[in-house]
Amino acid sequence: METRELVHRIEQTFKEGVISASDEGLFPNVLIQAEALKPVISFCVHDSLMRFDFLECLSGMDTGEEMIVIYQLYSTAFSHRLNVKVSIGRHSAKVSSVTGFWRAAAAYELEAAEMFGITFEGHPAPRHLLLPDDWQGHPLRKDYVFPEEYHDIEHRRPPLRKEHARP
Amino acid sequence: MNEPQTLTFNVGPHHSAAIGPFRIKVETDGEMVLAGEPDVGYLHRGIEKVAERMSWTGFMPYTDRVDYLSAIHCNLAYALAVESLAGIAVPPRASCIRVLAGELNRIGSHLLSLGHLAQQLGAGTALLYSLRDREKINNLFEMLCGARLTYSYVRIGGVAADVTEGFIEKTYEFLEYLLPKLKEYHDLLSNNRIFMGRLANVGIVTQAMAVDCGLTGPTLRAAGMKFDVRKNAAYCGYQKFDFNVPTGNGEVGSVGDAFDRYIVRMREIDQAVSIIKQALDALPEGAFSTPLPRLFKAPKGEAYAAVESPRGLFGVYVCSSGEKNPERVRFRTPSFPVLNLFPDILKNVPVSDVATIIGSLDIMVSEVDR
Amino acid sequence: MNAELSTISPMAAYVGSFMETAMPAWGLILVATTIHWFCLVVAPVMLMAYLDRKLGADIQMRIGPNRVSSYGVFQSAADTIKLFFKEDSGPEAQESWLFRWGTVAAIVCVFLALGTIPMAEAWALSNPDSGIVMVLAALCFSNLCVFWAAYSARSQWSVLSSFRVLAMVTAYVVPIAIALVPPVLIAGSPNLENIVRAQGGMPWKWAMFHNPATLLSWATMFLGLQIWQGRAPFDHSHAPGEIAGGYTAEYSGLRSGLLTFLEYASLLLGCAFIVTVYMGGWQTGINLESTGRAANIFELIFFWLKISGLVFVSIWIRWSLPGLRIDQIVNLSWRILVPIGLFASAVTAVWLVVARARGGGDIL
Repeated sequence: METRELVHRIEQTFKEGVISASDEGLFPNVLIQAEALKPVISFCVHDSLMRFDFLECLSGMDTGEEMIVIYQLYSTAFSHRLNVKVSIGRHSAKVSSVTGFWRAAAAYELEAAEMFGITFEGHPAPRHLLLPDDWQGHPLRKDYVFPEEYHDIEHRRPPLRKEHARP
Repeated sequence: MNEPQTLTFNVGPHHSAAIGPFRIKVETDGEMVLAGEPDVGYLHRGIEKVAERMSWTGFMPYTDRVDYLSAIHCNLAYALAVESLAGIAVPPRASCIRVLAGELNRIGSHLLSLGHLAQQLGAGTALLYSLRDREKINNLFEMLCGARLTYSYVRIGGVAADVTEGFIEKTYEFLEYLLPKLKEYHDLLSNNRIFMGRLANVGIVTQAMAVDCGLTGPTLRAAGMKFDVRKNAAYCGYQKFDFNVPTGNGEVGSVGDAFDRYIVRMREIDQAVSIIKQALDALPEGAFSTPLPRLFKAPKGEAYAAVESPRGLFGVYVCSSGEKNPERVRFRTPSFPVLNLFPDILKNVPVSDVATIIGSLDIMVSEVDR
Repeated sequence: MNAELSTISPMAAYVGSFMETAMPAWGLILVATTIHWFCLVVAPVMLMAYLDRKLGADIQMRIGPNRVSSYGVFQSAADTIKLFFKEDSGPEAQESWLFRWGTVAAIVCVFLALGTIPMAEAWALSNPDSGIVMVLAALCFSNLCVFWAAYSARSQWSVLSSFRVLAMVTAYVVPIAIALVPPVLIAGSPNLENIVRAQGGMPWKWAMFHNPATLLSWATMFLGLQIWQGRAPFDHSHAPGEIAGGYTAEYSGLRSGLLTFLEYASLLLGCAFIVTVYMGGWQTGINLESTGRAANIFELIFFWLKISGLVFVSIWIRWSLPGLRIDQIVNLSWRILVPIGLFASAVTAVWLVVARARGGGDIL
């Protein structure tokens, strides 16, 4: 199916869940509400015309106002792709886990959880993946403050000198 | 009766199984591994965070470090994503040079991977043989861009410099040199009974497992699926080149075992040689780069580009808010999803096979951790 | 006195034959032992370590040691001196005397076995009636010592590699023991000196080529000894790629040097043993009566030439083949080597019975 048709199919099936959809451009995607995630993903995986069996990438994103989780889906049967975005609040960022649909999601969700502080409800084994277990904060958030000390290792950034600053 | 006790090992972080520091907590009962849990992050450099503070063009050298064995592909994926976001047209000569450099880099990476795998099995000699040939590729790259490992050769809008004088002849020479050497590898390893015996039926990754876990590249192709970004979503004019996508067919064991992954890589080297020849024969004339404005700002929006790196689908997602630095750069690396495979693949295997399995999956730790 | 001494230590008797004045027997044995250990064991072992590195470098297209003297000939000596002065650091397990002395005990075993091997006519430190059993026991016991050392290191990799060492004992000892039957049958004696005397100098007079089956049992024994030596492709007990060096990782300084020494002493013992029982030992095939006592020197040279050939093959195998997995090694020994060895022994026995009935059968 064409991307346009895929986007429309989701829009028609989940009228309330879809916040916005763009069927053209560089990154055609469907932005959905957090509550609608599981039904939408389930539809994408099981619908006989979609059959998205491959999770290409799951990434988190912090726009400064909201958290977004991007699911890039691919179908090995039909060779079509679709991007699904979920918008969630910044403060209690919560979204249900999709590890039940693809095992590929497990590691991606761990990464997004520690980098953005997003809770993936229903993840089978939540833990720190890339960061140390006692790391404070979520580095990829826009409001992340770099720690100046970690286990007695000091780390201070020298102030950016004017002549080195870019115009 | 005492309870049966198990012994817990740390394979790594300093173990030669993976390229880079990579720890697997392995629970064993005698020689049998009951479970293996990977622990990564020893090489985490926060490259995605760094991107938010860099200018669009200034970030390019950091992409080298995502996967330093196939730096060209990392450069390329980032460049393609930014180019599509900013709508920059790439001159045909630049595209062709990108293909050329990418395939050379693929050969280099596969050579190291095969030598590394052989070393895991105790055939350290094969590693030195493969390093000998990879050295020639490094020399070619030094000739092309002055760097031997982290090239930063592909730039937004084209490549950093045109091919240097004599590079094309040297590359032809190298291809002539490489073909008999490939036969040497087949004699030394592929047709070696011990080598076959060590790899056959070890670490089987079926097609369903690979797709479920999000694996791509030689691992997925060894499982029998003909998936290659160069064919499925051609970039840089790959559709103009004539090449095959080798898949595993269980020659000595079952489909998707370690030997299939090894042999798929070997055959990809053959295909890469053919692609390089075609690229050299049909290198178009013209500019090697589209000039960018002094202060390059990508327009507001988002874009995603994927390339086929030696380890699989290497994707870059970029998001711009119209500023001079990216809002978000996300690397979708082919080694990262391998982590999902670990609970299964290290179940009831002998300790000897742990290194074989990791070596045959060709895990690049810098790309897992970023 | 000399006749009596020669039954205890043929080599001491030989040394004594050069002495103008009578020397007490213990003095002769001491001198003979010193000469034997230093000239015929330690020096060749160091030379082999050098050769292994140099040939290995050549196979891998490297240069290898080239700094100490021309072509780096004295590299092993320089290494030894360096290792003497290195700090002996190690895991907590160093407090355990098994850990500290296990490798030394293993080396002692190998030395004892090497002492029984005649390197020229009547040139062995001792000549036990059943030398073959003595060597076989030393082979097993040396690995048992390594097992103690590895197990007492108390690190996980060491413990795993100690299990592998034990598994290896079952893998090599049965094939080697079975492969020793044909030469004993041919010579009619388990004494090493007698086995050599039953053979001739020319290849067709070696036990190896006595009948087609002995060639098979020779191969069985060669492979069995390769497994015992624990060098690649049978290096699973300390495979660097698999178990990160196993027990060898726990040793440092001189103790690590001892492990290297053990490796090459084992290689020497393996090659010397198989040359003795299967490949004519010190027999030259040349009539050396006119040379008098210097005949021993010729015999020594022939013996070492044969050993060098086998050492070269071992080094070649070690640097070019990938390692086998432990289950593959055990399979190889129990499913292939043991049946072949049994078959060869049976064929040799029948061959001898038939040939002796027809008035032949002996090699000489």
